[in-house]
Amino acid sequence: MERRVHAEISGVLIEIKAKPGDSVDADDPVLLVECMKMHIPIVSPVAGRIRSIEVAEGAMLEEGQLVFTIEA
Amino acid sequence: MTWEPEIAHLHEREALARRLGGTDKVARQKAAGKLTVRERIERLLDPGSFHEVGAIAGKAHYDEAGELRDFMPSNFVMGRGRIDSRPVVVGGDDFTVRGGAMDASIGSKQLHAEQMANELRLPLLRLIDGTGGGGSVRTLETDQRTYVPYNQGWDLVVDNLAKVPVVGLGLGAVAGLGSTRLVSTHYSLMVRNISQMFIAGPPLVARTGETVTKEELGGSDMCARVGAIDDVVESEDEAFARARCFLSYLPSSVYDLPPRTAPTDDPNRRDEWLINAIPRDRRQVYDMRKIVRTLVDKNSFFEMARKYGGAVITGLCRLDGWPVALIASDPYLYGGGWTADASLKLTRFIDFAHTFHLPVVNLVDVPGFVIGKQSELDATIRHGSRALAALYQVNLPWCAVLVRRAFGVAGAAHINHTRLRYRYAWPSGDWGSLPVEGGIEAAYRAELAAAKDPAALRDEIERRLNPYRSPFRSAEAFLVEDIIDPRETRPLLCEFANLAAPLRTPGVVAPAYRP
Repeated sequence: MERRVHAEISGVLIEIKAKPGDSVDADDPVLLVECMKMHIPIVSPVAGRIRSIEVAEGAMLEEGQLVFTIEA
Repeated sequence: MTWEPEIAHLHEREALARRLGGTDKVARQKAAGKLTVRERIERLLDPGSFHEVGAIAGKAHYDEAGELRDFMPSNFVMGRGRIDSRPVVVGGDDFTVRGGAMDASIGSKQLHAEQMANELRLPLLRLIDGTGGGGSVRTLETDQRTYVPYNQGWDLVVDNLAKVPVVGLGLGAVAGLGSTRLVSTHYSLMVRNISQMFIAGPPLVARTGETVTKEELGGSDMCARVGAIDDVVESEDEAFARARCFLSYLPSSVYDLPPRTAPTDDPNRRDEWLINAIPRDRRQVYDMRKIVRTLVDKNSFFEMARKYGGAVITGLCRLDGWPVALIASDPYLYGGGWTADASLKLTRFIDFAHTFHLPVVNLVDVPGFVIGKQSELDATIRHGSRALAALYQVNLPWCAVLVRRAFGVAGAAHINHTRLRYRYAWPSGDWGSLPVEGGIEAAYRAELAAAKDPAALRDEIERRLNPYRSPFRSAEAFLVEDIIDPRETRPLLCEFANLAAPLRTPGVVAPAYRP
């Protein structure tokens, strides 16, 4: 089943830690966002395979924006 | 045996009331995955403790001889019962009778439940599964007139918020007055999939040109995310369990004090991992909930409104058996910075703690208000100022632990600084009016502009200033009172709870709680 993951916060995407096709565990960081001078991971909600990364490094993310999809 | 026939007749009428809206309607309720109102009350309360009031109120039909032929009970079932042996008042809508709409109830029954809780000073639980208040336009036809609306019993609803714990459980599609009753509480829950909440449902909304399903319009997850209700659970039984648990931390009314339970955990427990809990790299986040769970009595943390205003974590817990209101920052959401909704959540929570005389423990990592255009658009400054006002209006025993950052106005709002600063700091403490990062650009603008290599100068200034951020420098000047080993935190918080206990003062507080 595909899960769509949305950003819970706004901020600058500073690192993409997994690419489409990678297997990740639940709570593994997939993206890293800089916000309020912190590096805040966006983690995978489930174990599975990353299907798509919807954002590019350096992008300004908005709260609620779709950031990646994962096949659980 | 003079009155036996009447008692037999009473039992007949009670049996008719127990049929609720009839076999078909009850079957539909079940098919929708919902319990009936009577099953709900039974599962919520201590077994066999329900004493119903007004069971036989409803609409009766008599034959020409004056014999009772049929009976439809009012769609509101209420009375007294016990939760963990403590008396409570419970009232539940019966969706099987006219969809729980007010026009099929006997309004004074709801009023009676509110008044019973108010005058007997008992917690009130509202099981909400009804379509609203004023009822349907059908009443126009039956009454052949309309009326200027008024919110019946609202004086009691509001007064109860100031006097007794009120819990709302959303157990169906809830609209209008039903939604208002669900939200006008100290703690509200919805059950995923069976419960939706809105001001008006999809048919009315469709008239405005917006086509939406019940879930899209008022799904439980959405309602929790925007802070319309507090939490979402998976089942009705989970809702009942959470309601019972919530009440266990609270006094029966504000005229009493939150009850201590027999301590189940060592107040002097020191967890070694706490020395590593905060990463040395200031940009790295950590799991605040794990810290909370370690510091409080085992399994005693009851988080409230997790999906809303997430930069601020709020909940109830026990320390050495004493109920305590817990506030903490979540660095995963805006680094723990205050957003508009986090500020509103905090305001309501402080008022809640104040109402029920709960001492507060605040685990602080606040980089300030969240900055940026969105934050301004959300009027964060107004909502944050409201939280500040709440902080300075209450006089609760209050203990802050500066876990990491305290910057700016929001960071300063970790304690009412004019009262005894009952406060600890971990060695990871980092505070000021502005953080060095970002603050340098503002303070050294001219020097940086004139520099050949502004970046190098910036780094040099930062290197020069960084040692002054040490919490020990603040402690030398007694600007922070007490730097502690993080592993000592639980013993110190348990000491606080014990010191705070005799200071709690029962009674009605001002300003009164608003939902």
